[in-house]
Amino acid sequence: MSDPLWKEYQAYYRTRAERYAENPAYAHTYRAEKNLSDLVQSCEEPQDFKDRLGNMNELCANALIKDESLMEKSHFEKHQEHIRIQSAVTILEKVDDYTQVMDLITMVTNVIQQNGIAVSLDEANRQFIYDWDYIDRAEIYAKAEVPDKYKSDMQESATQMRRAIAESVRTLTADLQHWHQGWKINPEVNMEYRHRRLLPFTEDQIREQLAKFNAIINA
Amino acid sequence: MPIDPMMLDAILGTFRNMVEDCRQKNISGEHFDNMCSTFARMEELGAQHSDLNAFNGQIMQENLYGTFSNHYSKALCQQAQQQSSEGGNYDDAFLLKQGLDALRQAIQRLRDNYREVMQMASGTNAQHQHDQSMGYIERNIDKELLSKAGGIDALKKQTQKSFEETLQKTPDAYDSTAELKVLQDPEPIIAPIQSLIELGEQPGMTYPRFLRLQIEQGLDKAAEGSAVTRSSYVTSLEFAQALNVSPHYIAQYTRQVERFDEMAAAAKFGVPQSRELQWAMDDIFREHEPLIIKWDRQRSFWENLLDDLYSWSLSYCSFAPHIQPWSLAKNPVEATRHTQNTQPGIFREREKLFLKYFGMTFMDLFKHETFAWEVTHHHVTYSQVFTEFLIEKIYPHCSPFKHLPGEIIEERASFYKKDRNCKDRELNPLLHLRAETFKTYYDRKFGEGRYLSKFGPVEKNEAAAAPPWNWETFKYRAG
Repeated sequence: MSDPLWKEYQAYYRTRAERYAENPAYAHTYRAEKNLSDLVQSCEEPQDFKDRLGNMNELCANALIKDESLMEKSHFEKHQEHIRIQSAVTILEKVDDYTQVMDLITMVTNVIQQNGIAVSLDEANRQFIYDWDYIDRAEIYAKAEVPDKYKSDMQESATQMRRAIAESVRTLTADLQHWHQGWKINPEVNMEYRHRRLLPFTEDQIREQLAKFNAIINA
Repeated sequence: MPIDPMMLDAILGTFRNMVEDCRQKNISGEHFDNMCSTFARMEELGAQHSDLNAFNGQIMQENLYGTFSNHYSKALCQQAQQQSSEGGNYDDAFLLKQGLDALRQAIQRLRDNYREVMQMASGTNAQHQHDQSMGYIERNIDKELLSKAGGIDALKKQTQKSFEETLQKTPDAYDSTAELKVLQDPEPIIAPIQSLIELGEQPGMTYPRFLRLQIEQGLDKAAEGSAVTRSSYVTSLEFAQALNVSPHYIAQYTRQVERFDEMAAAAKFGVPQSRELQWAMDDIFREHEPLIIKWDRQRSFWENLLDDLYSWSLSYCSFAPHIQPWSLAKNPVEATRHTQNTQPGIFREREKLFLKYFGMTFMDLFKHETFAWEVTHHHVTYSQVFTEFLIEKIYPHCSPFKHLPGEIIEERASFYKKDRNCKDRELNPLLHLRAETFKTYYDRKFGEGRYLSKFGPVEKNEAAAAPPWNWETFKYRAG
């Protein structure tokens, strides 16, 4: 490789590192890219660089994954997403064990996919949220003051509504058990912030509705 | 019964094509073999299962999609490494050419995919898809159920007639090419890739200079589609403004566009890092999501309250047994009595819940921002005069065990268009303006006349006789 060409490589590696400078979110990446660039700048010729490179390229990939996972972890910590965060947590635990980029990518893909299933199973508990209005409707029918002649009709409507709720949970459970053996709905997790924020109701109102939902699906 | 081939092929077809693609590129070795064995396992499960969900569940439990993708990436990577090492000593021109060829291929792929998607969206296949759907129904729906509906031949005839009528009224009903041309045009992504190629083709260009300049000019990020990301938020904002569903959607998309621009301005080379952008957009989404949900729930709650009063009062009119929903009952007269006797109890229970959840009485709803928004954006179903009638004449009587007085029943009937000689005073006469506003936007976005050819004319209630809403004169509004 000619000398001017090597100088262009030095400029390229400098720019690569520079892209992440002054961006605290990419601190690890900047450090790894800067180390690589410093090495390039200190080498007189490509062979010298090849001899001293070691796994510095891989360390750049690991650093980028680390920074992005740290960002993701911090994002989901802020939003109290205790399930979604697990993907970043697991990647951060494992990232330093990898020396080959393709293996690192495989690990990251697998972790994300497994976490995707965990998130789907967790969010399936939102069936309670989707059924909120049906629980109310059953309650409205059951409590509505009507002449005696219509009372049994109204109770029947309430019962049908409750049966439909219980049936939807039974179907959901059967479907999700294909994805995760033994899965059972856990309506109580809806009190946790990640689900609870989707319910514009007070704590007491949600607890009261949860009790009604549990009574319906466990009847 | 095995999973319907139409459903199974939709899932496995992509993987089959990837295997075929590798074969055509003469890719072989350990990773390609693993791709094939993983695909064979998918096919095996497809043959074993009768339930699509169970099939997908087992695929996920065995992580077959992930395994396949990993081996696919590795097989492609291995081939690229092989090609690169075949060059022997360092060859700058070869490396540059290899990089530029990859970009040219990317452009080709984007254009091919776009052509394919446009072909699928052109609607020329609509008749075939319609026939396939009927075939699916014939194979999968319970025969007894089908026979109750008149048999498959009758169903086919009926749906074919409706299909042809739809095409006659709205020739572009099954054609989405105009929309895709605007929303998924690959040229905005291709332009920066083309600029990258032109950069690489400059006389005397070297591989390292090419790599440096693409970062410094933000072209690498632009080629990832950053311009398209911004335009997707702009389009969402335009839709939210055209539909005016709630102010929170508009606020969310406005903020997302603003934030994108702030991040682009602050980024070292003018383009935000995609991960940082992703989380920043998610922050804004999460901030507005609960507000959107609350707004929708409040609106839906009071809509139900008004609908209760509407149907309860209507059930007393002499013509009620002859109109839906009561005319559908076995005994329409008894059905109207059922409504008359039960609706007040339902209404009052709903009213209690409205107070419990949102701290609002029935009268408070008219002072609420959701109601004001619906009126000023022509979304509210009922006319002002009818809404005032519901408030003043119907609401006071809608209590359990009470009935609507005779003189009010007559007045109530006068709002309803019971025959061709009558005018309708129930409905908001400007209800069509909502669709008109959207039509104007749609035509501006996708081409003049597009809305009409795709969805048909905006229907206007020609019998509407109530005066338009005048928010200033509505005495039950706030302040």
